Amino acid sequence: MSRYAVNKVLWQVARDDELAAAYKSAPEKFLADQGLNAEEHRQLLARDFPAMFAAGAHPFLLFTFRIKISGGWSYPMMVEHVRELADIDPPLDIST
Amino acid sequence: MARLVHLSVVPHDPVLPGIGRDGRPVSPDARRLLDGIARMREGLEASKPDIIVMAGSDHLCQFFFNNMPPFLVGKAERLAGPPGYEQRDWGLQTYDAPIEGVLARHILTQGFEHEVDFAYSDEFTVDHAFSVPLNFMRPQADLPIVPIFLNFLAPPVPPARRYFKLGGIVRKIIDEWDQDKRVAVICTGHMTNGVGGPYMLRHTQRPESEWDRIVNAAILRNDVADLVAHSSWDEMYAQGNNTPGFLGFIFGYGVASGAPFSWHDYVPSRMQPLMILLEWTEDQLNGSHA
Repeated sequence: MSRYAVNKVLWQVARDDELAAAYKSAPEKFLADQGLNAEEHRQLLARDFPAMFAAGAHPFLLFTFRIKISGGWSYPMMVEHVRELADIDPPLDIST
Repeated sequence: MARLVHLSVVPHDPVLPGIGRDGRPVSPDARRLLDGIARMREGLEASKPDIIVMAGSDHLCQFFFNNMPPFLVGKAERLAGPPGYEQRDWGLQTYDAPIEGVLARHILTQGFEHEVDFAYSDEFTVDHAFSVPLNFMRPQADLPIVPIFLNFLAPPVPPARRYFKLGGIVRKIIDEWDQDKRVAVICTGHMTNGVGGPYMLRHTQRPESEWDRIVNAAILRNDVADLVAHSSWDEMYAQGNNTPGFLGFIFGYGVASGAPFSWHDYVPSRMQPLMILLEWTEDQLNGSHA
């Protein structure tokens, strides 16, 4: 498991407009050299928020990543995010 | 000698500055928060500070897991932020003020003398944790700032007693600084808060948690030992993933060095996460030190 690598992808996309554009336009290419295992690669390609959260991705990063790829914050997006995570028992250890 | 003349804990919720914008209605709870912050702004003004020391966290804005400082003093020429994505997402105003470099370097080097291994930075930005409280408290941005970054977002973080001890050391360094300056300290933090996680909207159903009630009761008793006892990462994180932001309050209690607050408000709400406002006046802070 490489939680650091997942967090780094989330961080790059959330914080950098050019890298976000690269992720959105060619996600396979963007994710190729990020040090992800097969499952993490799948999660980031599929934007599988519940799986990433359950695996211990940093929740604040995960949400700001979602804000970025959604084109900005909105209340319906926040409600959907909460709904998707609602059934997961939050992992207490999210350290890398 | 320098003198501590104001201490407050001010929320940094990035939604707060936009409340009531464009003629939208303001809930009674939000009004109460904004009025309380306005009261503290007047308290800061009345304290006639020369310098503001501000302690808050970076929200993984620039500091990342490749190089994460637990405690950092900012000593660039200016304090400016928040970054563009936060301005866009929340419609936030920027804040841009000079940094008081002499005091920043003094806190850094005296921190070393007191066994605090601060990191430091000569080039950084501040996110909403600094820009929101500073815009509320000193919108004219005319005072020099010393920013102290406290990690309460990216675990592992030091135990709560270290934040308390750090606050006390910063207080001592200010008190012993051989400059005739009036220094205010503004801190920021969270109560129960789950932004980004499944508990993000829990306040809409349950405005306060048992942890919030326990902590508020300890605040009312000025029971700092109990506050520290309820501030382990695990206990706070279980309330919601951003709740460890309460460590910003713990730092503030270190700065207060035992002085009870002068004014406090506790605002549970279904409209926004629960917030506590705290203010200490010059007399209150220096009562036992005069």
